Amino acid sequence: MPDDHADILFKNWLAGHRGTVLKVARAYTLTAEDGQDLAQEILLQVWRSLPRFRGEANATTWCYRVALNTALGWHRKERRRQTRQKPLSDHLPAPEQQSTSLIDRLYAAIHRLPRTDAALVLLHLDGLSYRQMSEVLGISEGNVGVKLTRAKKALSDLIREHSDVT
Amino acid sequence: MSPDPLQEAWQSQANPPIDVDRLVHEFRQGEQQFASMIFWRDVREVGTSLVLLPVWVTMGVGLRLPWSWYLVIPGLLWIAAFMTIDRMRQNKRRAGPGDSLVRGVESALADVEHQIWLLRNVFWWYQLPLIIPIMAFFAQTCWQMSKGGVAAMIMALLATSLVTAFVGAVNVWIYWINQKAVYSTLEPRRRELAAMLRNLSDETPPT
Repeated sequence: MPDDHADILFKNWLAGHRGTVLKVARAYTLTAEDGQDLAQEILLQVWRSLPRFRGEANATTWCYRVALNTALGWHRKERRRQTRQKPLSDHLPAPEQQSTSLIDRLYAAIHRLPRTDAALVLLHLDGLSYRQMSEVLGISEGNVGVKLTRAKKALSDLIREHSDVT
Repeated sequence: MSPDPLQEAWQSQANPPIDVDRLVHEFRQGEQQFASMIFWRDVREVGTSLVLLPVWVTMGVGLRLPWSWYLVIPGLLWIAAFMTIDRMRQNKRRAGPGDSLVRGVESALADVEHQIWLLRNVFWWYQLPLIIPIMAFFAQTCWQMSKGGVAAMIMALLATSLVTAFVGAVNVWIYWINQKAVYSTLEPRRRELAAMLRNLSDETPPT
């Protein structure tokens, strides 16, 4: 595939799915710097794989698969990219300090969930259907329901706990 | 179904802009560096064995060394072939980034388990095929030396002992660093992936 075509494909894709990448990156890291590194790693995986994406899966499902697979396999020390000279974006949210906004409390709670439960919670919060979640995770819709009930309860408990502390 | 307050808050997050042109430029640069890194890794791991072959033959012919010198050649060929075939087989089995999470975790787990197997058995597929011919060469050389009388025999025994100790120490060290990598890096990763897979596959309803 010519470079220009690949670049246009990537830019169009990014316009529609940038938010997903940034949310997943922030959910699976504890500092802004690590979040930038993970977001860049996810985008690199997308950039490499996008020309081979044939549309068998829904674009949202595919985006989540790439982002979550990269996040689950990401190791901070191994993956630190030496080539990046500047941050991915100057506008990425800062890491949680003492902020008590609902979004910050959500991220703080997600950080404390098991990594696979965090994936499920992210999909739920973005409003994916059970069917889409089952396609992303590779488990049955029934199993999605079982796990989501458990993960939502754990999330609520963690948010409540965080609110009590602050 | 109407979204809950958490979903509403989550979906209202602003998406900061990203400088796509710079990102793509960096990816292209990074890809070149990555391709170069993979190439030199393969050269280092597989090519070393192949590069040693002409060196071995040249030394054998030039120094008129005994036939046991050439026993190392099948060992070097075996290591190069084993690593190449193993890498090709593993690359074929690996999940892509667009596969489901369960498939991705299964693939990563299989990958780590295979790495553990390789390192735990490094003695059999990497060290032994070189230890046997190297020791055979020194044994033959010492045997020939020992035919020159009692003093020569003592010298030959001493030389054989020294060489055996050196080859043994080098191989113990190689084996030790490989086992250290298993226990310090690969085993914790294997346990982490196995736990993720269990968590994903567990269908026990909440109590």
